[in-house]
Amino acid sequence: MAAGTGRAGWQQRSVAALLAGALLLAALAMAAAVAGEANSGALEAQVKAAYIYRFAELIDWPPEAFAGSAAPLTIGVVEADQVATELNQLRQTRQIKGRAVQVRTLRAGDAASGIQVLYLGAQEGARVKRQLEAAPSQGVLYITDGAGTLGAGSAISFVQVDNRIRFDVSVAHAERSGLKISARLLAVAHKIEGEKP
Amino acid sequence: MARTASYACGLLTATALAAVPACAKVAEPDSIADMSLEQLSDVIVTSVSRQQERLSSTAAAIFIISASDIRRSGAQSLPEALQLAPNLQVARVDARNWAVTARGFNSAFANKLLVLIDGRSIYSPLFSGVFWDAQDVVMEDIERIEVISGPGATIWGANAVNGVINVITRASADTQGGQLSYAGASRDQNGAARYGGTLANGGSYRLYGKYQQLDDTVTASGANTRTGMHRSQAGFRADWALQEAALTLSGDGYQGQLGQAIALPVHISGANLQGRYTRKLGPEANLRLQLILDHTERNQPGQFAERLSTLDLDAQHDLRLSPRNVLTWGGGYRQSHDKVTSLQGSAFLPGDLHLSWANLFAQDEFAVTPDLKLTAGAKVEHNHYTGAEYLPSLRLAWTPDSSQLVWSSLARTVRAPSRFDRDLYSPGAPTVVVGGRHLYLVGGNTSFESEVARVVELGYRAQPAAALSYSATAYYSRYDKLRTLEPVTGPAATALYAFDNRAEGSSRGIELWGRWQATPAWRLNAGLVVQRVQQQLLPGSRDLTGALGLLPNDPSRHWLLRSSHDLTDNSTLDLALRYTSALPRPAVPAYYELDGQWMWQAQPNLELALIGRNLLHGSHLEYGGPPGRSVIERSVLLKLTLRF
Repeated sequence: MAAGTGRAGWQQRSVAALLAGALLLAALAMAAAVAGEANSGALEAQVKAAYIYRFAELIDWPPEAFAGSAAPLTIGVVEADQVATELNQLRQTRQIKGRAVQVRTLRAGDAASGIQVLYLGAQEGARVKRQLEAAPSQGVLYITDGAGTLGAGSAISFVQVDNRIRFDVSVAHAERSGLKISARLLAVAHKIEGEKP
Repeated sequence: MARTASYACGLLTATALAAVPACAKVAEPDSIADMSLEQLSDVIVTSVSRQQERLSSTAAAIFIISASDIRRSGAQSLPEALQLAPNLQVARVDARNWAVTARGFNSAFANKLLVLIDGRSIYSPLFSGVFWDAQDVVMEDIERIEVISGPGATIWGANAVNGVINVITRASADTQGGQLSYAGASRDQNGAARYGGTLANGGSYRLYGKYQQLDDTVTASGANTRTGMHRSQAGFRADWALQEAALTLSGDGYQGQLGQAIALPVHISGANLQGRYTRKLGPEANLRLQLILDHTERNQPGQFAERLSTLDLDAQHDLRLSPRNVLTWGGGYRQSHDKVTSLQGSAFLPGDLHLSWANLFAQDEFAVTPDLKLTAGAKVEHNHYTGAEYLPSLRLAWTPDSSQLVWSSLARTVRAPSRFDRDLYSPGAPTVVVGGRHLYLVGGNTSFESEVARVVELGYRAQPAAALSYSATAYYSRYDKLRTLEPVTGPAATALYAFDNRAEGSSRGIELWGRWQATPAWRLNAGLVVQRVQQQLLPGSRDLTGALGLLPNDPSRHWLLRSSHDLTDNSTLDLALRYTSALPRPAVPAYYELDGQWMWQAQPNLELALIGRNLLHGSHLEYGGPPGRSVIERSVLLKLTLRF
């Protein structure tokens, strides 16, 4: 069916065709970029970053963990550049609990003061333990990566189950840091430490 | 009834029962950042190809409108958001009326599409359609909209003939904090306020209020159609995660005033309350219970005044019977009290009517091989007018590898009669005098039967690369006993005409859509439907439906092309070009239109958007016949959103 007859219809069609054409051309020009973009770890990092956001939304910090009611929530990331990149993307458009989000990339051993969430990328267990022992004990949510890393003292650890990223929780470790974990978060946890698997 | 969103999960994810919210696997928002914990825990990150499993294993033509799609489109109402689904035909009739359908048979009284908001049916038993002007949701609180074209009766019951729309709102834990939004043009206003917090007992809640005002539209000659409206609505949702269980309570109340030509404005009001309880009974067994109380009023001067109260109770249980068998079964009961006061234009007789529906259904998913799943199910639904209706379906899904799905389905479904078909008398009193007798022009027909559809579908979905996915569906539907309006003769006749089932029809077509993440900052979505919808009268029919404006009026094709571009870290540009070919009766020319939104994150908590709708033309026609039909005009809105 023609959009119309005569000059007006022709103009209408050509405008739309032009727009469609422009989009298509641009699309083709970008095709090359796509080929190189399939980065296998990117998805995992996206999922972990999104998890970290959800965790932070579902955890209650003691008031003294923040400098003030308008202070940002700061996430420290150790040895997980991709996750840090994703978090930096997210923070542009998303707040946590009404607070702006800051992301700090730390190296192992850096002082972890002034942060509310510390994510330690996949590392060998003893190293994680050393870092956590050196870090402040109050008001920080420690997230580690890998099954069994809760033992190092973190409150949440990512685990891979059936090709999916799940997470284990230690309520005791969270409470030790003065944090309260919501039931909703626990409901989705893969394992809760202290419970039977 | 069984019209709960959670039932969708029975159909959609019979295999994904590991988590309590079994919907996780179908959710698939485009943006991982917007996923809930449950959805995140179901993303496959390390399959052989290390691609996210975006292909749901659903053997149905399902399109998901994600929260981010809605946000980036600038949609201000449900029908505007539905324009994002390539498998829906959405035409704006005037300021507040919309014609929405899937797979043809569109009209302002389209009656073959079932629509649910969080499992609550908004399909009116008065005319088996949706009063779009009475429905509203805070757009930012929508998690996703699942749009299924094609039959869904085995799960959702009679009336899910050509499609099902499930609007699913976010859990209150995902809408914490405050948000104020306002979108306005000169005389269109849309404001919403929401606040979410936590409850002392571990739950979370949100409260919202919103106000909407729509300006009247005009006809091509500039006459005011007086179809503008304003309405206000408020509501809440509270969620509790219990050990192995979850409880949700929600409710809404609204009232509004809708303009109409000639007569005084329509007054609408309503309230609903809903409770849903889900419980994990075992590693692979879940129970869902849902109770809904719903009351709506619609006082349409000159036509009718309706008060409808409904109680709806649903239960569903799914469990894995054996490694190869997953059974989903359940039932529901619904009772309505419909009280219609006759006015000049029409009467629904009896004016006071108690309606009830009851249903039982079972569906089994059987893994013939690990790659081949057969789903067979049936629902028996009993309704007030035609008794038991039998709604079977058979679906087959083959996944040759993790990036492809071939599926097929066979289904029989019905549209059960509504009060409109059985009980409508017009005008409101027998004022037509023929041979000394007082008659109605249109009268009820107690023998009007269900319209029946038999549908076969074949579909293919693929994600050849992480950045590219597409879906293709071919379908053929055969309709029997379609509604016609026939002259009535004989001494017992109380009217000159009555509805009858003297037409048959068919629709066939192809639905295509795809998504391409061209660069990390640029995504394209495209969709195309090519269809042929036919309706023919049975011998002896002298149908006059056309005179009432009830005839379906469908384009032979419509398409959509959307571009979503992240311009910078804090600004985005979205453009959506859509095309609908000409409508035959009444004739509406084909049109192209462009909608767009430029959004700027001025501060972390402040967002500014410039929204343009129908940008290509000063005005165009979308639906209806002359002389009273509206032209849809170009509009530009400014939107501010503040979060705190």
